[in-house]
Amino acid sequence: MTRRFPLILATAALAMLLLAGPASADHLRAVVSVSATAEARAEIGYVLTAQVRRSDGRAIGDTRVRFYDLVDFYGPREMFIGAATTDAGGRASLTYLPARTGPREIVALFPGADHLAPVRATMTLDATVAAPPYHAEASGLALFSTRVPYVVGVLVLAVWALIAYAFIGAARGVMAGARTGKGGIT
Amino acid sequence: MDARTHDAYVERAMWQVGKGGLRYWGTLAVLGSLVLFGLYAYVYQLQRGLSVTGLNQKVSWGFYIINCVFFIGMSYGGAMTSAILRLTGAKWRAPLTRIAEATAVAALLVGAVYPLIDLGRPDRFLYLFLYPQVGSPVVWDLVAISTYMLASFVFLYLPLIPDVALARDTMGARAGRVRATLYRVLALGWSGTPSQERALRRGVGIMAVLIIPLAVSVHSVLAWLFAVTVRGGWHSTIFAPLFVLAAMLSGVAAVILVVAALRSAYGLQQFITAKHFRYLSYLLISLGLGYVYFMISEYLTEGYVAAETSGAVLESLFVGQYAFTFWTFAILGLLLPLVLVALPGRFPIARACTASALIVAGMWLKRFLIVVPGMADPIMPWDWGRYTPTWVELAITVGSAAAIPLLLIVFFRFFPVMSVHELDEIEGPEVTRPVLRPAFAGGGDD
Repeated sequence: MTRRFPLILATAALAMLLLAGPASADHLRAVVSVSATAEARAEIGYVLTAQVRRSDGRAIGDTRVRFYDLVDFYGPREMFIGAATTDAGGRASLTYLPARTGPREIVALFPGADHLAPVRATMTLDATVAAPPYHAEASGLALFSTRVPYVVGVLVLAVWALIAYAFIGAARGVMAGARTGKGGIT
Repeated sequence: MDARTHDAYVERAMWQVGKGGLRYWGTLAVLGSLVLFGLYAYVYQLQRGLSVTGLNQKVSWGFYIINCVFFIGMSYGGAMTSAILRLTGAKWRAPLTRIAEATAVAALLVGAVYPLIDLGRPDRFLYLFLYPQVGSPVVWDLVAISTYMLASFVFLYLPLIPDVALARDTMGARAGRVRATLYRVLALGWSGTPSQERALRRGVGIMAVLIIPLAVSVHSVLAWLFAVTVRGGWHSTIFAPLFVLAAMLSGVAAVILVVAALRSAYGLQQFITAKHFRYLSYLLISLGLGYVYFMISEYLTEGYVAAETSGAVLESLFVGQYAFTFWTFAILGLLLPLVLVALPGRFPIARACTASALIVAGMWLKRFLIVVPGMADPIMPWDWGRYTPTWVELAITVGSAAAIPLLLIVFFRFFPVMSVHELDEIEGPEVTRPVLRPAFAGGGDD
């Protein structure tokens, strides 16, 4: 028995390892963090970086991370910025130039992989640079086009006036003729 | 026209005013039932939304827009017929102008309702006034249609004044209090003095000139509603004149049908003769040939370039899923009617009516072929859309079509069907001069 004790101990330890191994893997989860740094050239915007790793600290590489900006467009909704793939260190980055300056709520979403549930992380980016407002080139017809509605409006008013003149003039003429025998429109 | 024929004309023009026989009430009941069924279908749609129609995400314009274009076009033809006859001083116009003008107003009232029906939420019509976008063809349509409607009412009313006075004077106690008051108010004290004649002639003259460019503008704007989009088969520079011609063609055909129906119902055979139908048929042929020319021009230029979008629509029309409808329209709804009225021979009235019925049906099909394939053709890489109207759309369509004759027979129960004053104007003050044969007897009736 004494001689067999180390063997029993080793078998028990192995059994514990075998049982505990998969069980501890199931308890692993993905952890995501997101950060933003200003680009060297300010007009380019910000580099958004998401760090994805397991709860045991190991990095998760070669997985897609999606980035969103929380916006208010007929109610709060997530505006998709873009997606990037993590490197061996579990980092995924992309450049983002917000449409407006001010605080932005940035979301990084790990959609889940290898039995790991989806996880999201948020951060507040206080944007001091933003994309310049959209400016359409004025076409050669722009000046002409802006005046067309006024010309058409005058034309429509003239037509209404002519209809009124025909109707009221004729009616007045008929009624005046009934009273005095003289016409209105002549 | 001798005095006896003139008296007979007046008697026939006034014959149906205030009368309500079994045939009148029977017709009213049948047409009224169809209109009521259409109203029921609309209320059903109002309660449940546009999902009860065949309209869908891909084909969001269907029967309602087709009917809007079709009925407003029909109205245009009526107004144009009357205006052209007045401006050209056609001496045979007297029995026709009133019917053409009344048809124009009735068809316009029906056609103008369709954008509201198509809205699904009619309360949103107010947005057009609250938040108008002057760059939108829908706003252009609102302005054009409302202006044209106002002008059509004035154009119907002004020539009616002397005949209302005639009804006021001849109906006497038979008119009843309400009707007598109506006549008295609408007649504006007309007694036929030279100054009144002068004032009226001036007003009618202005409206006759004005109604033509107005009607052209209404249908051009309706065409631009399609043409300013980049959908296949719609984005065409020739669309506005094509729509105007189509409107005139279907409108003149509708006037022929209405004239034939009223001629038979009110016993106007002595005054509306084969000659009138023959002249209207000439108008039909001219417009029909013009339409064929424009259509060939449109399809040839689009088909030759065969741009990505219009090429697919043309293919669907000529050899694809809409080929049967297209060739039915082209052969039965356009070419056959033109041959039918162009060939000399017997039965000019029957041939004119058959051709007109075919043209009216054909031009409705043509509107279908403009609206639906243009919508069904996908702009994005999707499948073609499909559209099958439901009973709701069919009931509303039938009900609205029945509303036109209903409005007409109700209108002509109050007012003379033929313009008496216009006849006097054409014939001159001396209606008793000796004439060997009636002015409208030429052409031979069938």
